[in-house]
Amino acid sequence: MGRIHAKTSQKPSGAIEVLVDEKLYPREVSLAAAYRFLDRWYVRAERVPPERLKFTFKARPSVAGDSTAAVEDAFYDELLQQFMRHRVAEATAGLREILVRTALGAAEGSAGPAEASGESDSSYLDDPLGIAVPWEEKYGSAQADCGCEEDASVPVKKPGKPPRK
Amino acid sequence: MRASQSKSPASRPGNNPLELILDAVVYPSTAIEAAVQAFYGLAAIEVESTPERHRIRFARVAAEAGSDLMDEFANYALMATVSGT
Repeated sequence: MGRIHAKTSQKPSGAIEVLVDEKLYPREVSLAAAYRFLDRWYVRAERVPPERLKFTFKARPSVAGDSTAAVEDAFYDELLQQFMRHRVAEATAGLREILVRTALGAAEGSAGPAEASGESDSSYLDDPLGIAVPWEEKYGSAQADCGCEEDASVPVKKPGKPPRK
Repeated sequence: MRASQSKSPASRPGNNPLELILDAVVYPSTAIEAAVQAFYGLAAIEVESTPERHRIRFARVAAEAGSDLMDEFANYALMATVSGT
């Protein structure tokens, strides 16, 4: 499809020129396609009347091994891909807007009016969910549960140095 | 739009100014400005814009800039055009 609506020519310098019909591919589509080649090629774009866009591809020294035919085919592929992305983005623009609006509305609804306006009376020291309560205070100590609590009256022999003989 | 910069300590003496012409309908002025800022320090860059085209002149090109300065500048301007900066 790309070959039918775009024309390619090779300059003596080794650069390739590709003409893209703007009636078929919107400008943002062809520019987005060219953007994908900037890391391997030097790309320039200019208008050619009537309603065409000329892209000139010149190989970077680091990728001089790439064949010109390869970049031509890759550019046509990229044109089609970007065109499809553009079509899908256009077709789903309304849906995306509804989704974002719904999500933002839900987020606003979950926060109370005082929280939303930033006028909450609570401070950072308040602990309504009891997160800062220590475990022992909340559930009791594990030693008390198992009945193995230490008896304070019984002295506990602590390990120490062995007696000298 | 005019953007010029005079500081270029490692410039190559006797270099003729280089000139790059970009289509003003394809490349918006904001993209050219972004590229001029990005390449500040590599050359003295002067831009003359008309509704039809941007004429960009590079003078006192720094030695480390390399021979592909104009191509790199054009690539940056295209990137800035697509990304909308």
